[in-house]
Amino acid sequence: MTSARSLVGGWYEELVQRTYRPRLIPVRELRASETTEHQWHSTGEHPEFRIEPPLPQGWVRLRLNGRARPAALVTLYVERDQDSPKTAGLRLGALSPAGGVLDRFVSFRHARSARLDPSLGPGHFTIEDFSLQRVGLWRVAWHAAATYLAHEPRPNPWRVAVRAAKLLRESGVHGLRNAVASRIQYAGHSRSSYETWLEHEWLDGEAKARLRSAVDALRFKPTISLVATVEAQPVWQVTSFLDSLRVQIYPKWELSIACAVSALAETRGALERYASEESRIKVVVDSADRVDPLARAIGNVTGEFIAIVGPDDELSSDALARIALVLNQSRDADVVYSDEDRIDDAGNRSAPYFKPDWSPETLLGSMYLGRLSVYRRSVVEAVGGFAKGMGEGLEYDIALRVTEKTHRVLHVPNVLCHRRIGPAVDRPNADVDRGALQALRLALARRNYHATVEPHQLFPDHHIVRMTADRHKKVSIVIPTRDRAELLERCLGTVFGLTTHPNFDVCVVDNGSKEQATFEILRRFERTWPGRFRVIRRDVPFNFPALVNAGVGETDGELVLLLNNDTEVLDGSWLEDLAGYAQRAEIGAVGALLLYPDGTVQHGGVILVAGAVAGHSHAGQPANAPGYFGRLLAQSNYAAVTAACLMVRREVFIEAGGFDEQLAVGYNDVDFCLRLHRRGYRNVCLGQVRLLHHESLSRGSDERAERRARSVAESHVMRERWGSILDRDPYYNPNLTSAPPDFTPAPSRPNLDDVVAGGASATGDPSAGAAPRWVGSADPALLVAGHSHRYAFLDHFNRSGENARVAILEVASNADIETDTYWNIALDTARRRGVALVIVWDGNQHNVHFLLESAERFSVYPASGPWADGRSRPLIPRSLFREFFAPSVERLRAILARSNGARVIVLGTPPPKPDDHVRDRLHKEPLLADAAASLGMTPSTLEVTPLPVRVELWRITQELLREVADACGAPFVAVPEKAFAGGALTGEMSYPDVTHANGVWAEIMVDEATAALAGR
Amino acid sequence: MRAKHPYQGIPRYSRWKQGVNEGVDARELVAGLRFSGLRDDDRVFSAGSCFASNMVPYLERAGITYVRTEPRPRALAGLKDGLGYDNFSARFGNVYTSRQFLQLVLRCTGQWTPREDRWRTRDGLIDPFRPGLTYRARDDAEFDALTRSHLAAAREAIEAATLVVFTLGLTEAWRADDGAVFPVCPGTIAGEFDPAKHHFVNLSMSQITDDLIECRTQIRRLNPNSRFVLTVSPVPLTATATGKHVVVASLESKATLRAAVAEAQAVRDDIEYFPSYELLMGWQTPPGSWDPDMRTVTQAGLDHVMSVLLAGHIAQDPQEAKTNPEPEALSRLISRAECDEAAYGYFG
Repeated sequence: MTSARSLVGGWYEELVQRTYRPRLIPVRELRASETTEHQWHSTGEHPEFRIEPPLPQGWVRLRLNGRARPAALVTLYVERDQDSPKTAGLRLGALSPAGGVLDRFVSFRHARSARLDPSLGPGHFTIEDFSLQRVGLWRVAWHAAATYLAHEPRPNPWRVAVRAAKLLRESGVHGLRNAVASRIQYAGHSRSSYETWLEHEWLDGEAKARLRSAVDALRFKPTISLVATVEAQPVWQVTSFLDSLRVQIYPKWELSIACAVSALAETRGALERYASEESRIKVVVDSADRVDPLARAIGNVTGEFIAIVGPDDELSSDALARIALVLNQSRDADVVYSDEDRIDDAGNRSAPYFKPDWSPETLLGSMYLGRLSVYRRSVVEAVGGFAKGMGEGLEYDIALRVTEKTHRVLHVPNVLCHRRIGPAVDRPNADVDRGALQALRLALARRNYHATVEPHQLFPDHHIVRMTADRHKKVSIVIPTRDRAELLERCLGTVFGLTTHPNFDVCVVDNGSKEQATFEILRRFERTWPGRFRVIRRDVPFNFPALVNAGVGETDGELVLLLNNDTEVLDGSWLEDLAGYAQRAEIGAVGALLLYPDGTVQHGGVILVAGAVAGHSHAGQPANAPGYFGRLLAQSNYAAVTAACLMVRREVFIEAGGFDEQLAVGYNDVDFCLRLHRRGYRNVCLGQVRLLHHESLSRGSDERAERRARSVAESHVMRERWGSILDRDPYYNPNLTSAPPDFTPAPSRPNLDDVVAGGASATGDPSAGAAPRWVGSADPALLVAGHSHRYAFLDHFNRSGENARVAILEVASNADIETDTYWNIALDTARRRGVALVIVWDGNQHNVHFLLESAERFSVYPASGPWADGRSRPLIPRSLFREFFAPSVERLRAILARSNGARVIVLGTPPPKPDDHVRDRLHKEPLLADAAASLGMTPSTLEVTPLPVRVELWRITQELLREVADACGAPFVAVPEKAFAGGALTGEMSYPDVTHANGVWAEIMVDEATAALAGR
Repeated sequence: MRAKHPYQGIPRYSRWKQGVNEGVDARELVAGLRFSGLRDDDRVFSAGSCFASNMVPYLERAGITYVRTEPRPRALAGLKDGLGYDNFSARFGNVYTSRQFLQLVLRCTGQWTPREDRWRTRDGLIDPFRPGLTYRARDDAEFDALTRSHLAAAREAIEAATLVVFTLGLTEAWRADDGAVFPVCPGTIAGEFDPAKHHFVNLSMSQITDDLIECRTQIRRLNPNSRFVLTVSPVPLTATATGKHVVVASLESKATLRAAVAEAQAVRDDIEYFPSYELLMGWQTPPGSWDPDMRTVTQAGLDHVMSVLLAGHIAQDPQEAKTNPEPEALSRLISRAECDEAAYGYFG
């Protein structure tokens, strides 16, 4: 239908929908394509477009349709009116080679000019459509609500509505708008936890610059040789890969790429073009001589390190830089591998594999090293080079062979390689399994392992490796027990009834059984299994380690198996399977997969929990689930396993000193396993060995307050003893959440500076919920956390750089400052890093309520100093304002009460600004004028509460802060005299708004805080 | 035609039969009391017992200005505070006796200062004349400043008013050695009772008359054009220290107060009387004006009194009453917006 609207479409859009299609004017490092319309080449690191004015004002829906190769991050910078000191960079999203639409709501309030940075590096891209459409507040609010609902794990529209209504009532329409603004602009669209993780992962220009200077400063710059074979991949995939190499921050690399016969002609052309432009790229053209093209490519490289990559992978731009950094920190490293994820044709990244640190037993299960894996070429050559004819098993094979020669295998917990989702990788391919299986079989043979390999029935790319147990080695099974005859009977019955291992005995350590049924069962087993079953009584208050130690002491098997009385054997080979691993010299404790009777996982290995102690991996998952990248399927290294079923060699048990009787109830197994770990033994959990564990049935007593108190005490012992390793489980990636340790990407990340400074062993943050990140110095003396006055410290850092020695704990939304997560992370980071935590608490109370004067004028008598006012303003007792402001510091009190072990300082907040400054802002700053208008006020009718009154109110907030700090034993750092001019904050220290201070102020506060710390 | 005797030609409401049995017209009760009603542009000051504060919302609803010189900032609406913020023209709290009111006027004109003017506690200083205030001064300097500020505010309120209304509540009072009269017995709401320093006094009619006349003089001096309207609270005593039955003591004190007003009016013709007492105490009182405790005036009772006080004024619909935009909301909004803006400015 031809409507009037379509006839006048352009006009309609312009005037009614207010859609602008401004031109993009290239400013720097951009060249328009001579041949293709809308296509651009970026020639440097910082290409810039200017958006042609006039700009729309207010909220705008920005749409950009285009594609880029390599994928480009598009950032919008809006410069606002003169008083806004900084331009704001808003990440709009990424343009991929496959193309897509970026669609965001953006505030163009008071925008003077705007620029668009389409990329973070050289490449070319096409922008087919770019539009700015003015949108109304309600549209934005609706979008915010929708975003919020999609973003919440359990959305509650009612709560959203209530919150919105409250905001509207309290702060008017503009308040609501401001509140949603941060959600829209910072929270973005609904995302997976990995997308959230990625948000913090983007390397911005600054981070890249820092990494680049770190690379420049490296003494050891080995050449890293990359090797790839091109088959029938589409040409754009191959060029994406090549582009991802060309933007590497680390310069010393070479690529040797072979063209298989199947490669497309246009791909060959592209390769040759790249090779002619880039000397580090060498192309090996196939010939008909049937030589493995990969072997030819490998023969062509000279670097000290070598890595196999896919021609359709993409490397992150920091990939080789991070590898080089690790190689500098550990000059003897022979293998370095990184985390990886998947990338689709649209450039979307998913399925991150956050790998454990070097895990030899896990490697037997699957080629978990994956990409990017870099090998020292001399070691590769020492083991005979890459095998020929391994096909797809080649990478697994080299990993297995190299790690037979070296244990200097390091892990970089960063996603450095993005592997293409598509037929090339995901096609079901029998070759993959056969090649891998063959590689593994060869490895077991080389190693002289008596073992059998079988692919997992449901997940054939995972291999169950059964080590053949020495049948002459006796296993002594130690079962502590107290009554619960029925469970004990099932446990003993299945142990004796099913076990195929011929050489074992059982020692039940009876801890105060009283029931006749128990005694009858014990007598029956003694009669039935004379010489193989015995009972010792230890009628002492419950102490699990004491019972275990006694049982081990009373037995003589070369292998010891600790078993709970509420377990049930499911498969007769269990004891042999456990013994096969436990008998090996390099292995410490061996555990099993324990299942609840309802078929869910109770224990699949123990994961250490940062900031706490430990938790069971995969708890609650279905019994047939594969676990995180197959970790429930087969043998896998863990830091610890549960003592409910734990096998260890007697000599190792004795060497480690047995179980610690100080830990009567909890964590004694973790403690034991960590002692084994410290002595160099590896602990393993066997997913192929499954037992039932009726654990929940025996939980009742745990609930008792006394037990709980003891458990708290025991976790303290564990933290004291093992704090640093508990915070960084080598077998659990620091990018995964540790509370609970459920293998989901952690919303917070070890920051870039940590990684640069701390190398491969960067620590993870113990967090869940909000996503704080660390911004500022890599080596700070002070960590600043708190409300909006923390920005001043960021400004200080921006002005002074590393010299500032401050880091700021940032969050996406100011609302997150109120969360426990934020403060737990702040305190924990301060404890672990030994930095002083500087708390900047609130400090806006006087402005929030009293910046502008209501008809009911008042004054406050000064705490000290002269009092001039006669009658013009009624005086209100200070005590009233103290009570009025007091609730605002109560949360601070709770936070300080949790600070044990962390050095914490409470900082004074900036004093108020002069009346004329506030008045000036009020009259000239459109933001404030808008705000006034939204409440039906005109700025000219508004009066500013006089400075002396605001200063007194501010002083009351400082009094309260000081009192709370004093009560909690934290130093309080007051704002020093030099921050005042005429009773107000000096202009030099003032951020151009009515509330905040700038970095100059922060700097003097840092000095004061440092002095306070030194004086302590 | 000349009347044969004085009762001929008296208004109909002056006869019981016509004025009461044939139906009371409450508006007629003001006749002969010099009360000349309220004008739209009046600015009313009030002090007195609790009953006095009840008129405030009625006045404001009628669009008549109620003078407030120590208003509670709206940001503090949620805070508890004792007497004073919202009930009277300044934060003097309840003023039950003529003597206390006179002393207030004398204090705020600098003519008199009580000796026992502060009670010290661990939590700060208490004003014995405003014991119901929750928030205390933390030291003498602040106390002095608060008192000065308050007395200045009280004076300003009287000066600003066109109509000064004082409601007499009690004859019984407690005084200090220097004669300073406390609103309540020390030790009841605050402070400590000291039998050596604190004395009971039951003001006589002539004492009250003298106080009221002196009040009139003082107020005239402060504000020569102001009208002075007295009322007597109909509310009985909560307790008496005279040893008499509370009913007897109540009726005696009301009679004394009422007689003193009449006596003062006899001496000064610039004293007006509004019969709130008579509107609620007696055969003429509409049923439902009192709570079952027979001490609390109901809403209906208040409506009755106020309809007479505000005769001729139309109460405005509270919905339509003008609400001024609240600067605090803007303060809050600015603060919040700036926190977001600063984040935006720094991080984008």
